[in-house]
Amino acid sequence: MIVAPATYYLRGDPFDERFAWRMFSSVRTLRCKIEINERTSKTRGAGTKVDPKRIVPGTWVKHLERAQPKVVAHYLESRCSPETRQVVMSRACLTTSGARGPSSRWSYDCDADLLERQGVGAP
Amino acid sequence: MSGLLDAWNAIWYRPVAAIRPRLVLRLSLLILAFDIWLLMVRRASRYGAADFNVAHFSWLDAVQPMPTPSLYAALLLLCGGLAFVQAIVGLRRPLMIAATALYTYGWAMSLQDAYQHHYLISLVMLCFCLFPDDRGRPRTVVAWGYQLLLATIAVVYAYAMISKLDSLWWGGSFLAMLTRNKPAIMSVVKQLQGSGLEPSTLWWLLAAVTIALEGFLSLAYLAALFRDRPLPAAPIVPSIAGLAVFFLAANMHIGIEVFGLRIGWFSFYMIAWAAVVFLPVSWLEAAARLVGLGSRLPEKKKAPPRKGRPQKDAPATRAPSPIAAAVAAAAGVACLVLAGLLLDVPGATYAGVAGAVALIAGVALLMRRKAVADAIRFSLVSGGAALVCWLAIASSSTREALDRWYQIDQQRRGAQAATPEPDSPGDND
Repeated sequence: MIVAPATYYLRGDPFDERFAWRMFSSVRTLRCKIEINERTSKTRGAGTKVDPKRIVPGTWVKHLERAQPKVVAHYLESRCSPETRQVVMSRACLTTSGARGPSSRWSYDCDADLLERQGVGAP
Repeated sequence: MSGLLDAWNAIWYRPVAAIRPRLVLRLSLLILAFDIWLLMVRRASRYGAADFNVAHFSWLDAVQPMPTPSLYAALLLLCGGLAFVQAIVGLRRPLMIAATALYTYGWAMSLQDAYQHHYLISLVMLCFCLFPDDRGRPRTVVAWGYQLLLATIAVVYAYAMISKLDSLWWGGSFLAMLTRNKPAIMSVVKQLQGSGLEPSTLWWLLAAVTIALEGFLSLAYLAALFRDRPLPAAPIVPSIAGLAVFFLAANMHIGIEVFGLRIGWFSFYMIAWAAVVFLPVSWLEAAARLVGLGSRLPEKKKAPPRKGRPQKDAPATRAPSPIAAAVAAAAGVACLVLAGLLLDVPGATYAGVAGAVALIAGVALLMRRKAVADAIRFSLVSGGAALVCWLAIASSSTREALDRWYQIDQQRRGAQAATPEPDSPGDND
């Protein structure tokens, strides 16, 4: 009862607020935008931009915008196909005052089955 | 060491006024039944959409099938039924364990449900599983499950307070942002501004009061662990203190509702819990008597029979006949199946049939134990629960909400969404 919420403050991931009793927390004030790119063996550069709203229901897109780690990992992994080699999600946030907030980058390597995270929320 | 252990045991095993655990269980389960039927079932459409799902726990993803609207709604309809039945007949531990498991799986199966208070309700239901049996209706009971419930709520308020101890909350800017589109709070703010109060001061003040209140309520619930101990000198003192705490808790949660910061029915649960935990026992007893839940006075000791005198037989109470139990069971089963068929919600037929099968099994078990009266009661209450569920959902906008979400999702995803599954037990889903 006491330990489960306490782990939130120890694990260094401010966005997964489950089981932490953080109703009306200020983490939700961040306005975040995500961009997802998929790279095939043929594409060069950043890859093809994909709109997740056309792929999964809006609730899951909100989880992606909030960088819910389990959802991000599962979504990126689910986009792998024989053609798609890498899926990258970039997330940039603004604070209530309009200043630049935390940003992060998640990259899933389909061949190596490897997820890499950079920025806030990274382990 | 043993002194410490005694003090620890004294917290959990101290007698409490029996009316508190009895009422908190029944009131919570009644709210829960309608919360499930009216607020949770309407979200069923989104389960399994686009064949995408992430459970709350990785191990659950590994073992569970892809959730579907039918699975989600059927589990919750059953859980609501179990909650309603126990709100009427009182705690039956196997049913409570089943309800807790269904409810917990209901939210844990998918991060579609990320409401923090649903996790809280699972904890509360777990406490209910540990509540004492209240069939004897004593005046006081040892109820460590109830004490655990108080500690749980205290922990929730404490962490809710801690989560607000950042500069955004302290400064009031978060509260200002949270409520900027809420007309109710904005009109109050304008009035206060008219009296010369700076907006920044006002938001700071409101934030500080919220944080202080949550801290205070956490302490109050911890103090309630030691309540209901007879105070020989001033019995009025704890009542006044309790009333004050209830007033503050109710005000805070009513304020949250009025200002449009609603999180499901979280406030209703919190107000109900504050009422049962902090209002005077005499008030709760009076309220309980109105609905037939009052404590029974201890029976007078019977004088032992005199030697040589034959003891008069107590007036025989007519035991209900097994035929009456069979008729009641048939009526209960009919109501469950009928409600399942009539409810225009995915999975309702499954839930109706599963409820009917469970009722038949339960009645058979009770008949084997010769608990005929209990069997009749359960049958009638189960049938009643099914009808109330049907009435509640049919008179709400649940069906529209299910359809609307599906249409919006289809439009958004370019009509790639799968067609909605028909609701019949013969279909595979």
